[in-house]
Amino acid sequence: MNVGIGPKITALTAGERATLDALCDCLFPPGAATPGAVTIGASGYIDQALAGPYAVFVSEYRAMLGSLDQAAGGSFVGATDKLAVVAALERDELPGLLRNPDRTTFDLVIRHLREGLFSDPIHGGNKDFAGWKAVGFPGAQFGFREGEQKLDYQVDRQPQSLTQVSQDARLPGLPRTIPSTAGIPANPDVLIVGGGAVGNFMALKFVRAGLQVVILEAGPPRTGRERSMDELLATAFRNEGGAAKFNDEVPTWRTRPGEKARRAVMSQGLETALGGNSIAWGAVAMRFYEDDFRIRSATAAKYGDHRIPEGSTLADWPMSYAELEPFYEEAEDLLGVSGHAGNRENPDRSRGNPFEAPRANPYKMPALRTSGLGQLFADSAKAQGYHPFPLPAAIATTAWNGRHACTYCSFCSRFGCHVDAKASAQNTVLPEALESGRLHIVSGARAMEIVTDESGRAVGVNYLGLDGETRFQAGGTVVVAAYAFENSRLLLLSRSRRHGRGVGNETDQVGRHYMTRQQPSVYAIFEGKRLNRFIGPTAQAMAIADLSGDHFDHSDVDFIRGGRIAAFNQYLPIEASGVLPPDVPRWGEAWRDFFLSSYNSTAMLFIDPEILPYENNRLDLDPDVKDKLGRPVIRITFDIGDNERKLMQYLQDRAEKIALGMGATRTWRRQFLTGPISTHDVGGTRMGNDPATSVTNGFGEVHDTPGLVVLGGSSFVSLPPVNPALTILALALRAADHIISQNTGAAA
Amino acid sequence: MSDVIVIGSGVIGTSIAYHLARDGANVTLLDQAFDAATKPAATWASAGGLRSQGRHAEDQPITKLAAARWKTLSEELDADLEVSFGGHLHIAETESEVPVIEQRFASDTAAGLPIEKVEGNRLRAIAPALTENAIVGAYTAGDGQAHPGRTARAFARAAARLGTKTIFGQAATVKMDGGKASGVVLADGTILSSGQLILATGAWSIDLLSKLGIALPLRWRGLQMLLSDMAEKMLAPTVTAVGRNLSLKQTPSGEFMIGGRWIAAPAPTGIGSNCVDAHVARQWSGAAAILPALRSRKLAQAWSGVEAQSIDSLPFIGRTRIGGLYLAAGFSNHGFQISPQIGACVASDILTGQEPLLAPFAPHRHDGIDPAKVSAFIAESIAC
Repeated sequence: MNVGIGPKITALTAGERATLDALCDCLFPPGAATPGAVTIGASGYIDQALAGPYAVFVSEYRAMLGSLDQAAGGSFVGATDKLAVVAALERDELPGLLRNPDRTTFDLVIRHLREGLFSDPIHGGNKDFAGWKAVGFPGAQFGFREGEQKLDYQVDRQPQSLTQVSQDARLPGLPRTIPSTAGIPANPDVLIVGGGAVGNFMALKFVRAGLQVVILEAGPPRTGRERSMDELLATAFRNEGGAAKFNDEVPTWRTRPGEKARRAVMSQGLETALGGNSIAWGAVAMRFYEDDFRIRSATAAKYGDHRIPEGSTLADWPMSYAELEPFYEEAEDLLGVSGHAGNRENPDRSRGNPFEAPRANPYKMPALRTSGLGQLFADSAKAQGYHPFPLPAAIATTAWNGRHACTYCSFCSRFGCHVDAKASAQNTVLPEALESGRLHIVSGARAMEIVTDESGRAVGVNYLGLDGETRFQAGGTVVVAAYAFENSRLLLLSRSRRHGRGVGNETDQVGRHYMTRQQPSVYAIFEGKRLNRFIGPTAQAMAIADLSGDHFDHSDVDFIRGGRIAAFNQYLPIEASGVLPPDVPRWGEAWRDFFLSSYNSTAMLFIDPEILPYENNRLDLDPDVKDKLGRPVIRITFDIGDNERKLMQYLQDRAEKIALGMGATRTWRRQFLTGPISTHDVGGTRMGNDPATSVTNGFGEVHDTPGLVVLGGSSFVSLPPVNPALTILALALRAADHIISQNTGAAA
Repeated sequence: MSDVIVIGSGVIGTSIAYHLARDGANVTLLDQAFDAATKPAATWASAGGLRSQGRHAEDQPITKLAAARWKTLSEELDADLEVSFGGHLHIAETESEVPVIEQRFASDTAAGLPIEKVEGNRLRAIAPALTENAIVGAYTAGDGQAHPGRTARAFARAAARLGTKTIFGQAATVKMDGGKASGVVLADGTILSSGQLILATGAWSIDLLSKLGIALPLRWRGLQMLLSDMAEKMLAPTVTAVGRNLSLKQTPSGEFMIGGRWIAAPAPTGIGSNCVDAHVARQWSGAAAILPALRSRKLAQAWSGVEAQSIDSLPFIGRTRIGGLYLAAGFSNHGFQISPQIGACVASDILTGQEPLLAPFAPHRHDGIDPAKVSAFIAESIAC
């Protein structure tokens, strides 16, 4: 089948292209049994991309190609010492290169080369699947049978483009939204900023209670299945998975005040389109532990106040686990969560997490199946005294409310689900909420400021429509639910006489207590073994919680809290080709040989460390960097504390031991500080009972602004070693009940 | 002003729009949904069988023409319709069922359809994974399967390439002038004028027609379908059985799709339906009885869609007694295979004034029928 995309348009002259070809074949040279980058089509891909989505890089490429020729004495193509010239390029030492403060030209080229080698052929590279064949990646497959996921199984499938995948699950339809230029209800009971998970799940509760709701969504509507198997266009690389707005306003980052902040690099993309991150999330749906809601008091009671790390602003949450439990269950039921409940009485006979907080009811679907790799992890962990369990996930494992069960394809985290097995707003709450006729979603509506009246009460939002007009939308209650960065940003940008420092910011708390997940994983190679991690969703993982929270005694260690260690699936080749041990170069024969031989033998023991809040870490408005509308982007100030460094060291040591127990032939570790924008970005509008140390109460009501509710990860008080989404939804559903009781007089 | 407005973007409406546009008409295609073939419409829910055997005599000429169209339809529409030709096999499991196979073989052969009677080794070779209880089968090798939703969307796109104006996301009501249909009023108040309206609105036709004072012996029912998880490829033909309410096929991904005429529960309000668990269980066990390998598979998806059914199981296609109003609805259980040719025939009927192949389907063929019979048909509860 032809999977090309019509006539090829390219950007470079024949001479430039020849130089690029020569460079690409130095970076990924032909081998005895494998084609080189040019044959695979990587240079052709780059040339095409430069005539399209990467046009902005043309001058940088031209300068580089000229520099190569010049450094080679006139012609790089004919040079005999090409590798030395490329090495100088990598060191960014060639004269004539354009400089970029955030990266080198070589960084850019190697990234594009990896895309051209390993992206779907529809983008112009990876010709005849040559790149995928070289590493044994089967491409876009509808799914995989259980037997194919056994350890060492030789998967026998012809590589396939995403255009060739059959559509066995029923086709999706586009949710009904109103363009921002059309008329919308004037006075809804609730106005929600942000059409992501929080906004949509709350909207369902509101319409069920008979309330009228308007959602302002900055992005376009979508089904959630767009680009469902496209590693290049999903959220990791070009970040075109629905992130147009976010790509224009990427936050800057510095580690401490006084430093210059630079554009942050996203480890995961963030989506600004209908459904938000409920489309591309990894769907691990795990509750927090009981003591997560009272870390400060529990730590002080057990170990003494002096064990609270210096500089930490650690506080208890303004609610208990027990108060949140019914809303955890409600969130799980709306999402459709598969998992095994833990057995607290007899941990050694538990199929689930024996440390989990008490559940009123078991999971309604069994956990995702255990992969060969998961079993290997579980066996090793068990032998070392741990209690492995499958992560609960908002992924259907049986037919569920009309949705298709997981097919164990490997395009999950960062992708929309091609069969809607993974929960999204679109395939869970949205159809019923829209069917009610009481929910109106305005797409292409970008909230500019929260509007307050003379008394200081929030009465609505000014938003910019696609037609360039700014309009006012009123709402009885205004709910801001637009991800951690935009929540703080919108509050800080909403200034009035009554709210001179920004709405909610009377006590200078907006943006404070920011936390973001670090990913100090341990990588492991199992030489000669086939792990087949190109099968199975990320969330199809075995994990241990023995080292999380206070599940082990901290009397004899010099830190508090801990983290989760897990072996995830999903390992796709563009990303994987950049995962290298410290002694492997990132280009040339050594890189090629390493990657081709180890792609299917590499695993990662993923560490989710608990991150505490610190005085140092906050969000504010960048004084220098603006988005396209001239509004300041968020500036992140974030570093990890000594407590985190110590617990990461502790976790890495133990993860490595588990890996060796699994038979790893070599391991290496990521650095501790992996940066912000992890999709686990939390804090900034922290919940609490004291306005001096928080922005909202436990229902998200802003202390200094009646009528305004802010919700999301930004509400978090701490960041336990658990994926935040389920807790975000539980908080939102609880807050929705509170808003409903205020509107209807019913008991919350 | 369009020459023709087609309401409904299932596989029938989109095929009609495409063929009209291909034949030179200026067409507008409307649907209240935001895309063609969406939930809970029949095309969205359809199993996608391309079955030429065992059809009504009135269908057969169109079926034969349609079978030829399917061979090249993907190329014609420039789209992947997931067409495959694994054949269709209708089996008897008991001696008492054998005469039904004999009869089907005889009548289809007489109609010139390439049907084969298979038993013994030939039957095993066609479907080795099937129950050993299968004694004899009626086999049409040229039949197969395709993707109804993708087909409808491909028709809609192809129509748009030919200049058809497509308006999604707005419900439409028929506008009358001087006793004739003169166009439609969209939900946002827009009026579109046309002297020729075609309703291809499946289950929704009943309400639309009733508002215009037309009551036909037409009803809608929710029908439910199942998918298993993936298995090794083991079943090429679509299988139906004389003694069972069942259709079974293996999709390109290796999943088994299980249909038949299993009734779903109507939704509490509006047009829609929900699967009945007890029916799911019996539907599955019936399929597992003829394909033992299903016993070790798991249910991956269950859904239902709504289909319009006529009192004689033949669709209503043709001019209604309201001038300018044309109907194409009531295709339950046999619309997908003939959809390309229905589009061609309707286009020809509209543009040339008459299409003899559509004569048996005239919408008013039952006018004068005993109202009690109609009421009983509409109220009938169907045993599964």
